[in-house]
Amino acid sequence: MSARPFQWFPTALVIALAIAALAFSVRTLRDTPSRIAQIERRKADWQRLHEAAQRVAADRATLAETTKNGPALNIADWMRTQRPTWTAEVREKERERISENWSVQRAQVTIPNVNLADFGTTLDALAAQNPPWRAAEISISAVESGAGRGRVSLLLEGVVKTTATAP
Amino acid sequence: MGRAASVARGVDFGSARATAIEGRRKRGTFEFRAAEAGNTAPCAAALPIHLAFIRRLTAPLPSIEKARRVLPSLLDIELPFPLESCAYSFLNLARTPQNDIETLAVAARTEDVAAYLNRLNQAGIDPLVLEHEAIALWRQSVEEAPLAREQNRLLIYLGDDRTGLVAGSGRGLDAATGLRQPAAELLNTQTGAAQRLALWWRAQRDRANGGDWHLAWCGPGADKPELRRAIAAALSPDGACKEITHRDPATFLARSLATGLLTGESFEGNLRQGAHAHPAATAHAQRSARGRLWALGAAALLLIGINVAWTTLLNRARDQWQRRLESEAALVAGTDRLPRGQETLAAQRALESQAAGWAAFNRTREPGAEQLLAQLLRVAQPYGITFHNLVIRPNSLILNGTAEDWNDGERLAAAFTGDGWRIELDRSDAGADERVHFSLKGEQ
Repeated sequence: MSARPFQWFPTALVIALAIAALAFSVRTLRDTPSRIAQIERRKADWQRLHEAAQRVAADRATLAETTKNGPALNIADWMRTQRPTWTAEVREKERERISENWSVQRAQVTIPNVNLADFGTTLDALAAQNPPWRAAEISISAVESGAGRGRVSLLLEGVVKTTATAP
Repeated sequence: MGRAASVARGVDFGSARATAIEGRRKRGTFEFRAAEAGNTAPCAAALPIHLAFIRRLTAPLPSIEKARRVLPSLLDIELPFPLESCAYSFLNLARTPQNDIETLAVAARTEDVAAYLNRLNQAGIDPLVLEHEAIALWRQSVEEAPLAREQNRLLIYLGDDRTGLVAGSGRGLDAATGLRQPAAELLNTQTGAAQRLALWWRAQRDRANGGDWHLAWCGPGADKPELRRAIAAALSPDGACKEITHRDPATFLARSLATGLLTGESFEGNLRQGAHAHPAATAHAQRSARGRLWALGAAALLLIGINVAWTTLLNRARDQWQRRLESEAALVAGTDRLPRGQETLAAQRALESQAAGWAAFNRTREPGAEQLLAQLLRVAQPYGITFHNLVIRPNSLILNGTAEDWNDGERLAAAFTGDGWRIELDRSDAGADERVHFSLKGEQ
């Protein structure tokens, strides 16, 4: 029997500690690449989202600037008041929702017989509105009534308030 | 085991007298002086050559650790007594050019060690270290008179009660032999001692294939020139060798023992082992073992600490990026109620669902078809071009028309060439209306 019972205990403790330290180190070394990869993935995801968020923020700022005077004017009303002699047919088409409050409205305007010079002035006037109506497509075909005139079909786009029924 | 003392004693113990020298470290060198009575500095003594055994051994193994395990068996074969009854040590383990492990083995019967310690104790000497005499003598000899690698030396110790011969070369000590007779008695032809030593030296010379040998003298009897000449003649009757005598030969062994204790070298070959170990040496060994244990424990704790710190660092970095990611995702998605772990996916879906709306909005900010129409009419007017059908989008146009001149259509097309437009012009010869009919397709 040993003169000092449990004198082996410190040695056993230190050996156990050393084994634990080695096992811990092996685990740490094994886990480190995957942990670093996790961090890199999160960093890359954040970077991607951050750039997207910056784009969205810039777009929102532009939208706010564009709509600071309210929505684009009602195109049918404007035609009736500003071009009373034209027999323009205005038909609202699809809307694309931008945000909770704002959408892009498309409108199809058909004018059977119009002087093209006046038509050009009208397009410029619409484009100068704030927010503007922009011509997405213009179709003109000649009419019998003379040179400089034509039948116009026009697709306009403008930013309007989102309605409850908008998609 | 090794311990470097700052003051130590070496004792050359003979039956007639004991020479005690105190060694002291001083500015990188050692200073020696005669030790006074009552000196309590740690002490080293030497087991006489005739009481001990020394042999160079070679283990045919490349690993020093493996060699350590087989060397006792190799020594057992060489010993004239059982290994279990011996104290032994293996010194200077080194790899040979043949990739074997070579060592110098020293051993002594435990009962001889005990008897010699008893004699020392009776003389009031309790050595911390009991070294093989040949090891101590050779160490001091090469320290004071260094050897070239191929030089051979026979070191002769002439004691009051014993004689020792140590043979070696610049590569190290090779063999030693000793007699329990003082130098003066060697010359007595009736004992045949000188002849036995001469035979032993011849064997050493044969083993070394001749070579350049010289004699080195030390020990209390070495300061007697007549005695040296007589012994040299007895050992080598066929020719004279070059000789050196170590300075202060009477204290040579004691100086070496003190130096060994001061540098800690002599602990390696300490034959005072097991039950005969000096209590201070045992305590020192235990302290060293405890020190190693604590060092191992501290290293383990440090390693654990480094692991914990590294893991914590990685986890913190991961959590930090996770929080930033969640915050950014919430901003993009417009809500902070995102499923954990799917923030990126949810944010990307939100972005995708908004993408069409933002694309439409951004399109409304770009120049519309009205600018292209204005440009077309401006270019066409001077040439009298008439359009029949016209479809214009901001980045494409299709038109049919007539012109007065064959080249007018080309002039119109030229106005749109550049700026990334690809224009296709198709013309036909003038018809009954005497106008050139053409069609134009363009895309940006």
